[in-house]
Amino acid sequence: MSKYLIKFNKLSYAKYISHLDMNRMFRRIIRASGIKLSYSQGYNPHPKMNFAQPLPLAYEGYNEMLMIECDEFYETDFIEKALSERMPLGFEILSCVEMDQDIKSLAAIANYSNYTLFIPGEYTVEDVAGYLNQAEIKALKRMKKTKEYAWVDIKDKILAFELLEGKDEIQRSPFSLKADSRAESILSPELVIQSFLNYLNKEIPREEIDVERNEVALLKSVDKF
Amino acid sequence: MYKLDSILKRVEKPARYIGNEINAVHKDNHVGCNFAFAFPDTYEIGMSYTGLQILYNILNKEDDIWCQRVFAPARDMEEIMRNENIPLFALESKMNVKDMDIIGFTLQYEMSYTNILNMLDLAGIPLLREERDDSFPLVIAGGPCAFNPEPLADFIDVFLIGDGEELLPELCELYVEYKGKGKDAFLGAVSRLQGVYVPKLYEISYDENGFITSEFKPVLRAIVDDLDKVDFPTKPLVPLSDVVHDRAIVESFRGCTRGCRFCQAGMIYRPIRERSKDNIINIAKSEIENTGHDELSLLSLSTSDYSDFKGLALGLLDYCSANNVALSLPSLRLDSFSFEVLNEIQKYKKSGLTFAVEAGSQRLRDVINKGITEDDIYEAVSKAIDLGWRNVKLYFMIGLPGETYEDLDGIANIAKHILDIKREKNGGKLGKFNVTVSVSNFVPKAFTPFQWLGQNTAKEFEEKHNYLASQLYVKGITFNYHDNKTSELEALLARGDRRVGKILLNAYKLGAKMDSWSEHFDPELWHKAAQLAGLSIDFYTSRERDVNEALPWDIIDCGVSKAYLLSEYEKSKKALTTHDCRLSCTGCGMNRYTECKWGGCNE
Ligand code: SF4
Repeated sequence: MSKYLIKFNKLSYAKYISHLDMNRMFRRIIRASGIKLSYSQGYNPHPKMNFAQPLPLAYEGYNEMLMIECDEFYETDFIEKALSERMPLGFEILSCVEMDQDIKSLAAIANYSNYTLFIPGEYTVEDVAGYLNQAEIKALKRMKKTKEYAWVDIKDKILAFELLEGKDEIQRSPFSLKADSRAESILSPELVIQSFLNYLNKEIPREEIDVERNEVALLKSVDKF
Repeated sequence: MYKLDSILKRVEKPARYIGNEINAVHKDNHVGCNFAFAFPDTYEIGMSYTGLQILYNILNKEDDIWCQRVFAPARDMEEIMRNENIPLFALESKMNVKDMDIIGFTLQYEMSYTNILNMLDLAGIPLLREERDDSFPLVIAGGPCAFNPEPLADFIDVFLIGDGEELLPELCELYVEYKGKGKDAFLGAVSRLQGVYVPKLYEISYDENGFITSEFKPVLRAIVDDLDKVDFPTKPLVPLSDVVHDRAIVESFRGCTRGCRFCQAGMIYRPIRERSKDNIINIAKSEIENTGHDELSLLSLSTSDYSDFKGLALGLLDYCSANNVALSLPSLRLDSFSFEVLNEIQKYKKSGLTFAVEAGSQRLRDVINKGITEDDIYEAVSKAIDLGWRNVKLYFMIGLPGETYEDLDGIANIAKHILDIKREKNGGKLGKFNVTVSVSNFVPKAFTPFQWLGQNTAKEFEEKHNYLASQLYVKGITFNYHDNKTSELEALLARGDRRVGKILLNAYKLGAKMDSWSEHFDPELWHKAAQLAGLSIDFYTSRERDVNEALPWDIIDCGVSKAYLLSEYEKSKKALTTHDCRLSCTGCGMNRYTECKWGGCNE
C-alpha cells in the first residue's frame, strides 16, 4: 500500500466548484489517469482519499492538500503529470510526495490555516488592535448539531490577524488571518469577517469580500523518510 | 470578471456558469467563427444531451472555430442579470453572446421555444430576424423540432434540417468566407447547401380560410451516409456539478425502421445507419479513459435492434466488467439473450423493467403499427419475476386515432394481469412488487403517417385520465400521466405554421417562460396570446386536416415520401400493419437519397 500527498491550487472560477463536486472530479481524474485507489471495506466501499479541510465555496485555495491511498505503487512524477494533464482550468497540481504510512487522514493532523481577506473600505492598525483586544470576540455561529445560531467566543482561535499594506486591484484592503484548524477547535474565517465588521459597525455585502486560503499547516511532517 | 464574480457568490449552484469542466475547450477568441451552442433550457438538462457533445467536438476540431456553450440561466441568475445589466455570456470565455458570430439553438422539444426568445432577449439581440441588421450574430437552429421550422421562422435566420455533423462545420466555413460581404449574400450562398432552410427566402401566402396557398420545392434534409466517417467525441465534457445524466455514452446507430406510425424519430432519422462494432467499442474505451466515468450507456432508438447486438453486448460487457464500469443498455427488447445480458449487468441492483406498449388492445396496436403482443409482455414479465425483478414500467399513449374506452380498459387489464402473474408465482401474494403505468398524450407530429390527425382536446384527455385513474386505483399499481395543458401547446408549436410565431411572441411578451417546467406553465396566457394574434389554437391542434391540404412543413423534405406516409395512414384506418424494412424494403422513399445498407438485412 502507498500513500501520497498531492498539493494543488484552486483558483479563479474553479472556486465555484463545491467541495463535494471537486471530490468527485478528483476521483474521476484519478480513475482516468489509470491510478487505482484503495477501497474501504464494508457494505458501501468508498475510495480512500481525503482532503486536509474542505475549502468553502468561493474561496480561492493555494497549497490545498489531498491524500490518496493506493494498493499499488506509482511514481510520484507519474501521478503529478497524469493529474496535471487532466485538471480543468483553474486547478494547478503543485507536487506529489509519498507519505508516511502511519498518517490516517489529513484532517486529523491539521493545525492552523493562513488566509488573506479582501474587504472593501479603509482600515487602520488601531481598528484591528481594538478588535483583537476585546475581552471576548463574539460571533454568531450556526451549530452543527442543532442547526441553530448561537453566540460563541472565537478569541482563542484567532492566532493572528493583521492589516496588510496596499490595496488589491479593486481597492479592497487586504488582511492576513491565521486561524485555528485543529479538528476540535476549527475556526471559519466567516466568523472573523462577521465579528470584525460588527465591531466596526460596518455593513458590507458578503459578495464584495473575497477570501483566499494560502495554506493549511499540519501538526507534523507527513513525508515518508 | 469582478462583476460576474460577485454575482456568482449570490446564485444557487454557481458551478453551472463557469465553463471549466473536464475536457472543456478553451481557445483564443480571435478565431474566424465564435460559435455559441445554445441549449434553451437549464445547464443540468442541456449537459445531458449527446448532440451537444457531438457538435461541440466536431466544431472545436476546426482551428478557426471556437464553439462555446450557453444555457438558459436559472431564475435567480436571470433576475440578477436583468437587474444589473449583465448580458447573456458564453460559459467558456464569458464573452457576450451578442459579440459572437453565430448563435445556434438546438430544438429538442417545443416547450423550450419561449426560452429561445428569452435567451435572445437576455443577450440583447432583437427577437425578430427582420429587426437584426448585420451587426448582430447570425441566429441558427437545428434538431428534431426543426423539421417543422415555421413557428420559429420569424426569429431564426437559418435552420439546419437533419444530421448536423457535416453540415454545421460547412455552414461555419461559409460564414467565414462571406464575412464582410453582408448577411444576405451569405444567406443566398448557404441556402444552396443540402439541409439548409432560410425562411427569409420564402414568402408564405394564405387563402381567406387561413389555408396555405404557396408552393415550394422542399428543402431536403442533410444526411450522413456513414456514421463511421463522422467523429464521435472520445473526450466529452464531464460536468463537475450534478446533471441529469452523467455517464459515458456511445451512439450505436441512428434511425429505426420498425415503422410505428406515431413516432417522428422513426421517420426523420431513416434509414438505419450503424456504427461498426469495433468502432463503438473503441470509442467507449477511449471515452472511459478520457473521462474517468464509471458508467457507460448506448444511445439509439432501440438498443437490441443493432444487427450484431450479441457481439456488441458481449464485447462491451467484457470491457466493462474488467474495468469496473457499470453498463446500462436502455430500451432492450426482452428476448432470452437480452435477459441474460440484463441479468448480468443488473446482478445486484435490478432497476425496473420497461415496456413501451403504447396501446391497450391488439387492434389499436395494429393501427399504430406497434409490433408488440400481450403474450410477448407476459412471457417476459414472467421470466423477469423468476429472475427477481420487482418493478415493471409500462408506457402507453392516449388520444390515439380510433381509441375507445375499451382500449383504455385494455391498459388497466394489462397492468392487472401482470399483478396476477406475480401473485400466481408467489402463492397468491403480491409481496414487494409494483407496476407503474405511465400515460402520455398523443401529439400528431409532422412527418408521421398521423400528421393529418387532430389531437384530443384538453377536456378529452382529462376525461380519459380520470377514467384510467379510477381503473388503476389498485394496490401495486402506480399511475402517472402527463399534464394535459402542455400537450395542447406542444401540438400548437409542433404543427403550427409561420403565423404561430406571433402567438409565441405574444405569449413571451405576456410572460411565458420555462414552459417545460409545469410549475411555470400558464395555459391562459397562451390562449390570450392566440386571441391577440387573431388565431385559433384549435385550427392547429384538434382539427383533422385534409390529406390535400398544404401542410406548414411541406417546405421540408425529410426523405420519407409523402406518398408513403399517406399509404401508411390509409393502412392504419384498416388496422393493417407494415413490417420492419430490415425484412424487406417497404418503399418509404429514403433510398432515393442514400443507400439503405440495413434495408432487408434480416431477409
Ligand atoms: S427505402 Fe426501404 S429500406 Fe430504405 S428506409 Fe425506406 S423502407 Fe427501409
